[in-house]
Amino acid sequence: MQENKKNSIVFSTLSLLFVSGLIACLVALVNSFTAPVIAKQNEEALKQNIEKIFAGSTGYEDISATVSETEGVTAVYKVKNVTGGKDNYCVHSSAAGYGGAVELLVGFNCDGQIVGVSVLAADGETPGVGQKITEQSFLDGFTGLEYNAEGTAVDGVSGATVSSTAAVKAVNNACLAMDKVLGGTEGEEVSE
Amino acid sequence: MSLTEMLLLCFSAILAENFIFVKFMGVCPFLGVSGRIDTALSMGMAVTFVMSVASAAAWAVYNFVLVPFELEYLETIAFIIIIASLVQLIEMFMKKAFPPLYKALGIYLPLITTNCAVLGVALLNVQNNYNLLQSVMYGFFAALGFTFALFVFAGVRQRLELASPPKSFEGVPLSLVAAGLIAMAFSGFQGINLGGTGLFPFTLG
Amino acid sequence: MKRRGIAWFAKEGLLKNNPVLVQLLGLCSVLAVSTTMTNALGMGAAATLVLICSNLLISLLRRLIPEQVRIAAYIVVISGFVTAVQLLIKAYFPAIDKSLGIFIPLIVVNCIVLARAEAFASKNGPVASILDGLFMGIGYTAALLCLAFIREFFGSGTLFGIKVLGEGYPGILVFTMPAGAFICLACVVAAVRYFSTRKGDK
Repeated sequence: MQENKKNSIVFSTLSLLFVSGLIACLVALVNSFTAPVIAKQNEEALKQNIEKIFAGSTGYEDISATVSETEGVTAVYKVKNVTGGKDNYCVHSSAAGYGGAVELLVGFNCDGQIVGVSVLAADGETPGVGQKITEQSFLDGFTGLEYNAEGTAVDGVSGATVSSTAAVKAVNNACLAMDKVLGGTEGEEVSE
Repeated sequence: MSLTEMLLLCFSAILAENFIFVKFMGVCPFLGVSGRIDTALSMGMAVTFVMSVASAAAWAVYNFVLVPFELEYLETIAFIIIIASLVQLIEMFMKKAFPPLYKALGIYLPLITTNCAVLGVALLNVQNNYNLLQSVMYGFFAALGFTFALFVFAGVRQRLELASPPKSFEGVPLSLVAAGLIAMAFSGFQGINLGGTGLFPFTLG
Repeated sequence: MKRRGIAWFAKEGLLKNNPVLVQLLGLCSVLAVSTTMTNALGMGAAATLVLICSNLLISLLRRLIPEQVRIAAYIVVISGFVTAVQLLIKAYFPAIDKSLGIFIPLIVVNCIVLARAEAFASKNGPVASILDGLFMGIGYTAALLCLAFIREFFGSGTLFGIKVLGEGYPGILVFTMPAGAFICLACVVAAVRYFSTRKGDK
């Protein structure tokens, strides 16, 4: 009886291990061929979004590592200026919205002026209410605004919803990061 | 974390972002055990306990095991295994250490493994980049919100038993209609903390 | 074992034992993703795929998995397939992944999958289990689509994102809100009950 019980515990453990191993192999296999596709997709989506803001841009460079960590900011990109001249910047920032994160890509020119904003993710927002932040007329409201040292470009919008508040918050986060990029270089210029 | 931030998180997790009425997580046990106020409270307590501990455990495993080994894609599997074994451990521990508590909550414990609110909290904590304290707080308050919803709804359902709806609406459909009306009331809470604060105070500067 | 035809499985999954409308399982995801037809179809397809795969594997392993640890084994199998499906959706249908978000991994705790594993796949052969998974999945998808049709049509005047009620339609917001989800589901369940009892009376 004792022997039997021991056996059954060993057998249970072994069979559970076998099942787990089988599943681990399966998931690893699927991951091995989907990972490159997913990475490529993310890159492609980023490129498209950058092109949406800076039409005809030829390339970008991830400079997130050189910018100290800013709340809500995932990445900062330096975008080559097609007309020549100083580089433009794109900041990937987010803020919590109604049903998840609202993620934006905010484009700045070399003077720190907002050139355009594009929505990367806002799918948790209520259709018809919060989803209004994905409409061009809403996003155009940010264009032309300039960051200031506190990182705020926008104080608020009329008819605020949770989603629009989140979008404003994300843009302001991006401004904070921008302040670190441009504010720093301007400081150097003064000291020269 | 300041006191205001804590209060704001508490408010949003319990009311404005209520797991059942706004996020639709944990609806199955919600319909199952909200028949009576006392069972609703027992279930709520069990969920609160598991959700707080699971938030911490999931955070630790994600940040100390999955991230260093670049296995983030295994998060769902890892979290469900953590939750299932945690529930098992808590059940054994309770049985030994606190028999009266086990007697009261025991039968609800196995149900918690398949409560999507518990797995949902673990996944949301990762999605929102919460740190350990924020994860545990979010888990705890979200569970309190779940308990609150169960409690309120149990009260409503006891009244519903006296109602005489059309035959096809009897039971669950009638409960769903009542849940819809409560959800409508809960959506009113979302308007309260709009003044530039947003729902998740932690992402504020 | 009793031989059962495809018709039996179809009737069981779609009507008699429809997992959502009759058994009332997996309501969380039904309420959450039925805001648009596109979401509903994506979620239904994902859940169906998971159901078929997990049913098949559990049925094949049913003699190997000991009684005491079977639930743990089922959960591991199901979460494995859910992760695989999630990765596939992320890679090939990123738009669907974005709009369904957290509800794809939550298929793991969708009671339908575990219930079919426990009630059917652990007792039946692989072919029957695949059919059961397929038709339960279709039943789930059908219920989702039905609810999504009502909510999207009245809530925003569109179907699969295409405007059908003209540009001027303002949309009845309550249908897209959580409250609308609960009430619409209640009405659909009540309608199904009404028609199934009436058919029984005849």
